[in-house]
Amino acid sequence: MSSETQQLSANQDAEIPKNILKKQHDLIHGFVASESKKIQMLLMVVILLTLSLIVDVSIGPGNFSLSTVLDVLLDKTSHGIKLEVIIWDYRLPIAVTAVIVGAMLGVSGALMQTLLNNPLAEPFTLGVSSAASFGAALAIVTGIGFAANVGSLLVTLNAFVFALGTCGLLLLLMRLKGVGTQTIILFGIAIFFAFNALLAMMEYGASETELQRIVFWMLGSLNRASWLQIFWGTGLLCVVLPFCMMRTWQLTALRLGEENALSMGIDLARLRVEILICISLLAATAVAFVGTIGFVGLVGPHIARLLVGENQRYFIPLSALLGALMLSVTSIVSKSITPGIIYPIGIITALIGVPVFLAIIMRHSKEQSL
Amino acid sequence: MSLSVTNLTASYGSHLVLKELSIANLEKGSFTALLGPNAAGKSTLFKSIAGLIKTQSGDVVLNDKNLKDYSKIERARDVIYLPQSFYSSLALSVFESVLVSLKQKSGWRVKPEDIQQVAEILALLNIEHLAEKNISELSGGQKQLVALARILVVKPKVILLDEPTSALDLHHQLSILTVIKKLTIERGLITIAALHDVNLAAKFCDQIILLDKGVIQTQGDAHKVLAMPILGEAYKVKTLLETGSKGQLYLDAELLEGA
Repeated sequence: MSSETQQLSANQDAEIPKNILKKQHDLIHGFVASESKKIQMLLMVVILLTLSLIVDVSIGPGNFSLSTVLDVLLDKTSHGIKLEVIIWDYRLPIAVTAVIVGAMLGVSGALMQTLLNNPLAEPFTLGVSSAASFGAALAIVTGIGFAANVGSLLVTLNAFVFALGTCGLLLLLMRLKGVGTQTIILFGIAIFFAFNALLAMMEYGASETELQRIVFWMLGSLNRASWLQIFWGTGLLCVVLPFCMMRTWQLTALRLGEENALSMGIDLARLRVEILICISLLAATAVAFVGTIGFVGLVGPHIARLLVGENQRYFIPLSALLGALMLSVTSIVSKSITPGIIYPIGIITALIGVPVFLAIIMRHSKEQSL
Repeated sequence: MSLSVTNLTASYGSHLVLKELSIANLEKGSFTALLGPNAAGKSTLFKSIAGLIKTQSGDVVLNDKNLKDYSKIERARDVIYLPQSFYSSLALSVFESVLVSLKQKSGWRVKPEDIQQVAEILALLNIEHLAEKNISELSGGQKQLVALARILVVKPKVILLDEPTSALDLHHQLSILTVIKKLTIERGLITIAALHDVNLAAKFCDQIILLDKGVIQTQGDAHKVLAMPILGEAYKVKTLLETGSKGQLYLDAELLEGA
């Protein structure tokens, strides 16, 4: 960018008065400097995420030194078959899944907040996770699902279909004439309560073992992580993230208000459908992989907004990185509280998320009262 | 370059807002005030001209070309509407908010010429010192200038301003209208602004269009319209035309008896 700036400076029209020229030079340098800061911020989070990933892999039952873990990561067979299995087949899939699912939740939260113009919107608060939980419970208790002869995959599949269906409902509502973003948020809250009631009904009729499975699923866990999940999750992110990044100027324009976006020539109806499809795929896949994990889609974008503002070119990738970092750190915390016990990550994210949720509400109400 | 509107009809559901409305040619470099009581259809007229809402019938012609033949992005490049809305909390800098407008028409990457264009427009409006501030930190007048920068950066031919002076004090009303007038002449724009202050309209604008009940009641020279009884009828007030110390006309108004 700096050579481009120099080129700009060289190309200035000699007829422009010197004071205006200086103002323009200052503006250009100011903008370039602020863009560089945001890129540095992204790189810093990438470094933190890498460190967190390594620490996550190195922590767990069986005290292996960091250098041993790094050795095995670089050369699978360097410390024998036992360590290869522990690191590559157990710990690494969990740590990588935390990063991928965290990124999915971070992006879907950021997109939802932009689309609905509400910093409290995320898949968890709009009932998508509740719908997925009900779908999972339905499979656990009754065995009713959207596929036959898939065994334990039925729970995951049901969760995915119910989450996707809920997003589809939100999408249909969005397509109706005269339906504003507030209506969609209220509709999401209604979905949240409706599926929670249905879930309670399911739990009431469940056996002790089934109830245990439902509760465990709902708490959110990375223990079901596998390389297959990682393959699908990475693939999805590789398609959805660039797709959304191509629309970041339109999404940023949307933050200036619907009428402003329309007056810039943006096809708002189409943009909304495209983005909600992306959100649906990300949220449904994330919840199907790890169960109900709330607040990551809220906290990641909230911190991203504080760090780089709402220019979606930086806001969306930083939300993804911070979502990934949050879930990765949560994974570390879940193993570190009590040695030998791994707490469900859903509990930890909720413990971190609730104060942030309240902070956003307080900040929002303060801004409204100004 | 000229803009004309013929037989424009628009409605929200069953509520007819614009009724076969026509506006005679508005020329390049002209600043026109759109007057009319609340709910007269001013915003709907702007949105119809800019193509933000679908109209039942009618044509908007710019330079002998019907705007129906334009794509959304082409129409937004030539005819741009600035709504009344103010964004209260938004973590976006002034520079970025202007850049966003420009980047709807060019590629994803920010090119040096994009930065140059934004810098130029901010300097032109004397708001370069606000470039790194968040929009939500600005005063009403500053926000309005930024909004102007945002629409001017795309170099439109027609600008439609929906109450650009609402929520501004007298000083800022005068300064915004002075800037708009100057840019309209310098850039050869066709500017239409919905205004509530008829005296400010007469002071700054070449023409006044009076809209009431979805129909254009009159269109003509600003001072001539000021003297027409139809103005008082539209606003349901008694109008009194006065002459100022410099010989300029201004309108005083009173509520009708029993109103």
